[in-house]
Parts: sequence; C-alpha cells; structure tokens
Amino acid sequence: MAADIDSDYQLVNRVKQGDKSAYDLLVLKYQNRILGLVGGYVSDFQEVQDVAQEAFIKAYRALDKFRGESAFYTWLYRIAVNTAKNHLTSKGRRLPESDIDVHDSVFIETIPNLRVVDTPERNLCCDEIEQVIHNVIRSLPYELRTAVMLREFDGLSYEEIADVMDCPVGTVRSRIFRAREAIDREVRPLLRQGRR
Amino acid sequence: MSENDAENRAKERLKESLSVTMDGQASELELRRVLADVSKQSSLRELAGRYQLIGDTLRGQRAEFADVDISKNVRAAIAQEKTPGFSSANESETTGRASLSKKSGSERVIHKLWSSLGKMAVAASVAGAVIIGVRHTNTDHDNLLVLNENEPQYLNRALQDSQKGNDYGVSHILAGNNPNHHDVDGMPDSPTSVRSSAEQSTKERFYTYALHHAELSAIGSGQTALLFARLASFDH
Repeated sequence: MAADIDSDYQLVNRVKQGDKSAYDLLVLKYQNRILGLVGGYVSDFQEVQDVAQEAFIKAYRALDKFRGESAFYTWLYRIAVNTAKNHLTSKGRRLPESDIDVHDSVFIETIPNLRVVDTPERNLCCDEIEQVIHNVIRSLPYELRTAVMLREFDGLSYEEIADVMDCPVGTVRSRIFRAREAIDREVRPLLRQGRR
Repeated sequence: MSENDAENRAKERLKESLSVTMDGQASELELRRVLADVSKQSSLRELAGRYQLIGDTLRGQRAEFADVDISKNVRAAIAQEKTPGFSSANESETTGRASLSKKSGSERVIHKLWSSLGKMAVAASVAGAVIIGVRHTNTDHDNLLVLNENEPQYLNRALQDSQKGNDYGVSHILAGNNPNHHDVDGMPDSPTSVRSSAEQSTKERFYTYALHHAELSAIGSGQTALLFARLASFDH
C-alpha cells in the first residue's frame, strides 16, 4: 500500500531525528506480523517474543542503514528472519528447509507444522476477537463501513477514498476514525482480559 | 460539565489524530503532536496497537498475538540507545542514493574535492553573471540618457521626482552613500551630477551584493536564493 509505505517513511525519518516514540508506533504496527513470522521458525511462545524483541532492537540500531529503497516492513522482515535463524543456530536447532516469503508471512497459519504452539485458550481468544471485529463492521452505517474497508482492505489514501465516496478528505478522516472507535469499544474489553 | 465536555472533545481529537497518523495521512505538525502525546500516554500506545489489530484482522491476518505487546520491552531497551545515524539535514542522503560511507577513503577525498570545485565554479559563474548584468544595465542606462535628450517626455523619472520632492530615494542615496552630498532636502545641482552619484552608489551596492552572493554560494548556504531575489528587486 503506497500510503502505508509513506507512513513508514514519515515515522522512520522522525526516529532518525531522535523521536523514539515514532519507533514505538512502528513496533505497534508490525509486532503482530513479526511475532507471527518468528513463530514460523521458533515454537516456544516465550522465545518467539524474545526473538521478535531482539529483531526490533536490531532494526532500531541499524536504522541509519535503511535507505528507503524497499518498504520498511520488507527490510524489517529480513532482519527478523535472520534473527530467528541465528537463534535456532545458537540453540543447536535445525533450520527450516526454506525461508518464509515476505508476502506469505501474513498467511503463516496455513503452513502445516510451522505455527507456534497454540493453546485452546489462545485459539478461542483469537477467534472471538476476529468474530467481534467482523460483527461490528457488518453493523456499521454504510459510509463508515465503506470508508474503513477502502482504507484497510484496499489500501487507498484519504484523497482516493474521498474521490470514490465523493466527499471531502476531512469527512473520510472522520468516518474512518468513527468506524475504528466503534470496533475498539467492543474489542477493548476482550483484550483486557487476555493481555499480559 | 462544560470543562468535561471540552476535555472529552480534546481526547477525541487526539484519538482521531492518532488514527490519521497510523494511516500515514497526518501533517508534519499533527504527527509531532501525536508522537509527543504517545510518548507520555500508555493508553494512546495501547489504542494504536488496537487500531493496528483491527486493520490486520480486516486484511485477513490472524490475531493470534493480539494479547501480546512487546513494545514496552523494546521501548525500554532502546531508551538508552543513541539515535540511529542521521539528522534531518541528511535525509536526502538516505533515500535512493548510495551512501558516502560505503565508498573507500580515497573515493571520499575525491568526492569532497569535486564538490568543493563545483561550488567554486558556481560561485564564480554567478559573480560573473552579476557583473555582466551590471555592465549591461549601465550600458542600457547610457542609451536611455541619449533617448532622454532627444525625447523629453522620457526624462529620467528619478530626476523629475527629485525635483518634485519624491525622489525614489535618490536624495537618501546621496545622503547615505556619497559623502560629498549631505543635503538631504536640497535639490541636485544638475541632472548629470545626480545621475553619476546615483550610478556610483548603484555600482557599489551591486558589487557588495555580488561578493556576498559569491561567498554564500561557495559555502552552500540557503541564503543564496534570497540574495538573488534582493538583487533582482534592487535592479528593478
């Protein structure tokens, strides 16, 4: 998504200017994907978190070498894969036969024998959250649902969404925010129960 | 109650700004404001995580780590770290260009030498262009004087105005820049002496600007464009 890439460059440049809270947002943005990616290499749940943390810290230290020639996530992904492999090597464990492709990393749950050890509770929590999100989306007014789906699913910029929906950019901004707020109201209690 | 409303509205605006920032659609000012608040409020960071979770789920990603947040540990780990490499002045070097640091020592020296030579060449050519421009202007001014003699209606406006009391600053120039003319209010003795004094002052100011411009070009300062604008406005 072009807008996502722009967002990352904006945040990366802020980090380089000394604003560490910008890196916070980058971690929050990609931690789920990186955890899932590392989970394809490492089976222990605690180790997945440790390796993912290490990958983010390495990426921070190497940020001055990030040239912007690729998307930030692609660059981060490579660091995470190398970190996971180094971890396996250091533990004397066998490396997987092939690397997980960056584009497939989001679908890692479909690859047999590569998922993190799941507990029934974890699976239940995950399913419940997904169900709630989809239910709320379906119940939203048409304008809010369309705006947030065009943004999240199709990756359109606010200007593009404004063109599609024939409304001002400010209205798009407001609709997307209100859609997220409506979903967040339902999701927040579920996460409070499970978060460490 | 109204204070509460105002506070709630402010919180809503902040959350909306966060939403916009997560989409990469915030202005620079809004981004800085959001980041300043994110650094202070854990609730905002948690909200950012939930916004991301919502987006990931809508895109079909599994929320298996929805209850995990490693950002706190990462934040603690990098808190003591130095800022990675670059400042804002060097941002252009980080986007799509080979880094100077990748080159060998001798390549770096050669690069710096060419860079300095280039800057000096630019400064010299600019100074030369200004000097030629001044000479050209003076030549045109001489032609205009010939015209003036033949066609009184095109008499030098400065002379006419100086006679009327609105001298476009000629008397000021005379008073300020030419020690031989101290009488600010007095009329010039003759059109010729007024013209030559004004020309002399003009030349002096042009040379001063040209020198200053050339100096700044060599340093590579951002002031060069401003000086050029001043030169152009002075010319007119």
